[in-house]
Amino acid sequence: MNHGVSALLNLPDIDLPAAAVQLRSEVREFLTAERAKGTFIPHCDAWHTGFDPAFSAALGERGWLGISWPTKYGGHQRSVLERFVVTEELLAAGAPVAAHWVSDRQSGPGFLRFGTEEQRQRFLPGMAAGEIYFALGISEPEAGSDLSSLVTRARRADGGWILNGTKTWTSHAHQCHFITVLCRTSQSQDDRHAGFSQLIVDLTSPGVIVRPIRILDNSHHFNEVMFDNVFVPDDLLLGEEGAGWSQISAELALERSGPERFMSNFPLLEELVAAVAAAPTPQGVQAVGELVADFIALRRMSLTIATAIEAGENPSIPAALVKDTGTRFEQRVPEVTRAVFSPVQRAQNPSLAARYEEAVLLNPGGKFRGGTNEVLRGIVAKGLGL
Amino acid sequence: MTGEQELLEQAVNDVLGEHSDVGSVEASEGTWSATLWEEFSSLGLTSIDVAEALGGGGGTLADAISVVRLAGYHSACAPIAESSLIGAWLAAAAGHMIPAGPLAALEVSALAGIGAERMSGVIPIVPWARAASHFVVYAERPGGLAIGLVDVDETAEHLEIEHGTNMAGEPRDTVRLLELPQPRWSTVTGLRVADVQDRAALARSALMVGAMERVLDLSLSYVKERVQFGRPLARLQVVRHYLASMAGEVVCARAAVDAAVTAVAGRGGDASLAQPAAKIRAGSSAGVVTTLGHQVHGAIGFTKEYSLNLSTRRLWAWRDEDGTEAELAVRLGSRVIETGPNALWSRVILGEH
Ligand SMILES: Cc1cc2nc3c(=O)[nH]c(=O)nc-3n(C[C@H](O)[C@H](O)[C@H](O)COP(=O)(O)OP(=O)(O)OC[C@H]3O[C@@H](n4cnc5c(N)ncnc54)[C@H](O)[C@@H]3O)c2cc1C
Repeated sequence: MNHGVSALLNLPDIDLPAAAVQLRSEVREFLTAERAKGTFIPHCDAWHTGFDPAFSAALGERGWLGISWPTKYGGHQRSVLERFVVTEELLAAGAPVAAHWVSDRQSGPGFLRFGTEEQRQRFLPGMAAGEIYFALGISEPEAGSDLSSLVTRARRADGGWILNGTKTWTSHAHQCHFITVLCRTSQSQDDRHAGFSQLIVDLTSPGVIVRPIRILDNSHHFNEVMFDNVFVPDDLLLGEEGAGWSQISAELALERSGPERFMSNFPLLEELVAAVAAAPTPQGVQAVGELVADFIALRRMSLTIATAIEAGENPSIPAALVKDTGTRFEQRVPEVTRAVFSPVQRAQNPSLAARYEEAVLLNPGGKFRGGTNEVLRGIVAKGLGL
Repeated sequence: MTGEQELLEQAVNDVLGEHSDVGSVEASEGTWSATLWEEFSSLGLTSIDVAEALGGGGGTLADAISVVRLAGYHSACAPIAESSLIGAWLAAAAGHMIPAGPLAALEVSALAGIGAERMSGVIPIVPWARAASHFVVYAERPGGLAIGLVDVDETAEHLEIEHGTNMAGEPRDTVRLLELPQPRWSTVTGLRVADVQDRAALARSALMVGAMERVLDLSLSYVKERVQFGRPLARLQVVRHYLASMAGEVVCARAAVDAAVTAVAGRGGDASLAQPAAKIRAGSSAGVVTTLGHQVHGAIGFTKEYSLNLSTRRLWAWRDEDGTEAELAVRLGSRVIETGPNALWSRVILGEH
């Protein structure tokens, strides 16, 4: 009898610590007050598109960024579960958190794992304060899913590296301070994954050119980032020379299970439920039931994975599943909305209509960012022993 | 999972594994396995989460659910889920000592004579009624649920059981009460028929998760062994993606069941929402898992000789029992919109009050 799969999917049971419960109410109180003041209105995909430095700094000031990092780096030494609670409250509110999102979720933890003491001292406190923002320089025009084919290259120079190449689809590069660039530092004939390194580049360095690329809602979100003989000092190599591939794989695996993978359209879901409650129809009520059922399951998956990470496990396969299942769920929300409410009905409900439109226009990105769902399914299959 | 839970699962797997080959299961279809029940009962696995004072195991709902999940995995031909999670739970709620034999719950709220000395009526599609040593009858009353225990042997002349089965050959019988003397009723305040339905939905979902895990395990083994075009099916990308999709469905359904268990235990979430949610999720996952499971198996999976059908036929039967996805989505949706404005996050998802 083969219980391989069941074992793989066995995840710990959950009890949120009391501190997380307390923290939740503080965060919610803050968000309610900010909304009342008109600081923000809830938007779909705001974790990705709502770039608001003042808002990020306000969160940093309250101690809600870098929550699980050591205090000596400006963090707050709290549990992964407390971070989870803050994260989901921010997402449920549709708050503008994009400025710090990558630093808090990915770049900061990257420094904690692979960075030098000096790098941690230099970057982490500013990240935890919500004042230093990092962009991700991974994708290239000719290297999307197949990252091993990327050609941005750094060669040795006196006291550092000279970087040349072009990154693309770089979210918020025009508003961030630094970018982590995955590049080739040597060429290997036989191992496609060898010879990569991660360099930290100051986006104001001479030779960095950032060019906007408009996305479907016409906003400036993406950029093309060109590096023309950019000098990167030795102390801005992240981790080991040549270990870039494994470093970035570890980073991406953890990035995939957060609640942002199924909550991007929560503001629309909230409008939808309110609209059905105001004028219930059998179809509307059933649709609400179906969506809520999936939501409950996804939240549980994501929370369980956070619990496993807190316990020191590395649940990369369930994490990939959260992203695959979660993004498919969130993309159903606008589809269900249009099935339940006609265009005329939507037009009579301006906030429903607005959230619907932004969800539709921003939706396609969900299944690409962080590795496409097809690529993730490949990772899951491998994890299943295939 | 705690170490204790692991030991429990190991013990259950050992017992059930002996009875889960195609031959044994098919021999028991259309009837039930008294041997299996005896073994289960002797290990104290038939009323795990009932207080010890009432003859139960004094364990948690999570323990009981994990046993039911394994019963689903092994296509157990005995009323494990129905008797332990519904029958024993109702009997214990009313303060009855748990009898040794299988229990079948019968809702009698709408029967003739319910207030009088004797009651009569027909109750269709009762799971495993023919196996029951006792019926746990229950009826909704103002303020609570009236529950009584009926000894089948003692009241045999007032009972008629007409055999029927679901599409997996599991007993789904029709019970006729013929002037049955009223049992001694106890009323459990605060409990409603809806609560019984919710719990039945959860129990069924746990069985389904187990059956889906079996389909996934069988499919994984099969695609590694079966060679076409000179290589195992497991090398073909579309097949790999099917398996990944199945795994996603199984994990998600299992998470929904776990969320419901946590909610029932009062440790987060709202039980009246999370239980129907579990069955909605299990039902829709079952659709995908059975379809893809059969697809990757080709013709062999379409035969009675191969074990895939034990799980897929059960999944097709079970997704229609204790509420279809559509019925339960309406129930869940109604409860959601009744929670009032701005409650989706705090009250519905987090279960705050
Ligand atoms: C909103 C958004 C924000 C982003 N932000 C950033 C950022 O900040 N920094 C950054 O570096 N990148 C960013 N990206 C880029 C993202 O990481 C890439 O889009 C992604 O890796 C896919 O690459 P691609 O777009 O070149 O698609 P391709 O790799 O060309 O894929 C096109 C299609 O082919 C499929 N495909 C490719 N290979 C396979 C395979 N082996 N098997 C099956 N199907 C396959 C894909 O699944 C996809 O459907 C962002 C993308 C989006 C949408």
